[in-house]
Amino acid sequence: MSRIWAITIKDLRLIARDKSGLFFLLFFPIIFAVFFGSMYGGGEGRAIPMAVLDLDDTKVSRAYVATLKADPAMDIADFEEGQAKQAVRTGAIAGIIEIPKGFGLQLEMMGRVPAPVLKLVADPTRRAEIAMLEGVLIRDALQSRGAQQSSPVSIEISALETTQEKAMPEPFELSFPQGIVWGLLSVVMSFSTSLVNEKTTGTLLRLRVAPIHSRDVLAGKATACFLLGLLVCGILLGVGFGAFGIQPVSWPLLGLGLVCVSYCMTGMMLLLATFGNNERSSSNIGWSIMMLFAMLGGGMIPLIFMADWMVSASQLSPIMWSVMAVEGGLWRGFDFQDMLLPCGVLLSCGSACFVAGVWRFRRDL
Amino acid sequence: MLHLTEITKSFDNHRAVDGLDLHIPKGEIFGFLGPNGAGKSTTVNLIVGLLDADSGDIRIGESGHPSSAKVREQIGIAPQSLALYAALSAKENLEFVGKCYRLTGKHLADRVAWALEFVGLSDRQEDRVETYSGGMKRRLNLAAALLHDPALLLLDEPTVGVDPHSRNAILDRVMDLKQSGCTIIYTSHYMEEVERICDRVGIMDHGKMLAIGTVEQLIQDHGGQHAVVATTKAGEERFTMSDPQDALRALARVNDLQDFHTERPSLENVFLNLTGRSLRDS
Repeated sequence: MSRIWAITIKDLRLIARDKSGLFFLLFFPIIFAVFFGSMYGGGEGRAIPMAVLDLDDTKVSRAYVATLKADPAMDIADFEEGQAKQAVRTGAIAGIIEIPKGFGLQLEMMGRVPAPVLKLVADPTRRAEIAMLEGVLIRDALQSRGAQQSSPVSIEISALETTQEKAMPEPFELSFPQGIVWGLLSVVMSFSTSLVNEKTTGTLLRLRVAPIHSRDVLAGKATACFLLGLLVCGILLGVGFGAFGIQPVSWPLLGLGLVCVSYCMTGMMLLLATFGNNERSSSNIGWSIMMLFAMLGGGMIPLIFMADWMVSASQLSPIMWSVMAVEGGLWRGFDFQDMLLPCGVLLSCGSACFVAGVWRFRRDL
Repeated sequence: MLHLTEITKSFDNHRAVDGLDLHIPKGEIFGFLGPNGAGKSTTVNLIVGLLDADSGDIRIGESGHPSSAKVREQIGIAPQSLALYAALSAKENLEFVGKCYRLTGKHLADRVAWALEFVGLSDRQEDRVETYSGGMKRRLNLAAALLHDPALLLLDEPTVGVDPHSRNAILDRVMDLKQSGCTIIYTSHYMEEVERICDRVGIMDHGKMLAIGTVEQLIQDHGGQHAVVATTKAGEERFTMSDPQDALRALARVNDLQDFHTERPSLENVFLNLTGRSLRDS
């Protein structure tokens, strides 16, 4: 164990002394988070996945629901109320259109009573889509009534209420999870190239000749990567907490999410370190793979701008699950059960990469 | 100290080491020479336990096979590539290596201090290795190999790229180690170094040990004939022959003889004759 710590401390020292590496570890993710936090706003494109809750259940309301389902701007799925809220919470749909009791009567008595109020319960990260929906809902109400009057309905938008009673998250609470993931990507790349560097400079040869098992070498490297990952997360959250008013809804679940994300990234580091024969090729291969995951997972471009197939493919990206795991404890108000899916995916992905990385590393020795 | 018996190692269809027998007694400096691809690196990797032989036996000291961690504790290696962390100081590098060899506390501190003193880097121990000259890095590379007081030391081109001062310092230190009973396997492309410090030399090619012996023995057996070089107005004429009387007769027949000297075969000739290549070109 003392030798594993020796390797861990040595690696942390080396990372701390690499000033350009530290820039990517700490400052770049903060810049990234601040940038996206400042620009969160809009976008349009593919059909927006939604759920409809028809609490009125009258002929008029059913006709309105049929019109909504026929609208190409939306992809309406049938959910029970509880399921629908869960789907919003986990990001499967952008929001819920709630048709209140009395909707049909109010619409039929249009002009004599106040216009019915449709509730839009939304995923706060998808404001742009929801805002676009306001116009769509009004247009569909007109269409379903065959009327030409303006504003037959009012729209009231609210963020999904969580079990933790979290209010609408601040923009920086939306952007910092992505910043954290970018910080972890930098940690991954620093360590994967450092392992390649150990091969090319001969230090790995010295370690292998020493009475130390190759699994101890990897364990030391992985421990350093894991700890640095958590440290980067802590620093970024500290900046978010101190300077941008971030307030996690659940510290324990946020901690759980960060541990799972760091674990997954550590596994990926070990696998990426086995690609490429030198630092440059390893770095190029590693960044290419991670960029692909980041793009697919919404780490660079919000998912709302992507085609449907890309959104489906994003499920394959550990970056998407990483962001979700962090958001779960930060503002989504996940309970422990909600955390099981993203954390399970991350732990599985990390373990698979770890096993594959160790196998490739030992094969290439 | 080191016993390799009938060692064979193949990669796919290529036999890298072919029935190698090598026995090096304690306290000997053994020069290990051969062209690139001769099987030297494979042999070194077998000795330090990084590879397993297909057949044959390797024993180090009384302990046994180098696949055992306990046996590897007796081995020190200074690879040709500088196996150092440039961003760490000399002291930090050595402390890290020492911990990998289970050295702790005062013993570790004492060994680090000794190793730094031994290679003459005590006054620069707190400086990062990236600020060192090539010769200083080579000396630190040697110190890292010696830290745990190995019984068997493998030095792979330990003087590549160093200035004459550092080269002499390294060679002097290697001779000191021999005096203390350390067994050393020394590979180098510098023939004069091998002639200066090695007790015996082995020349390997195509996975086989072509010849083994003291420098004098190798020159006598494989160096070829002495030569007499005559200098005339027209240039130089060279006569190689085994009988000195024949050399004198040939010299007497040279017109306009201005000067002459004799040339003794060297280890370079031995290498050339055995492998067909010059050591520096191989």
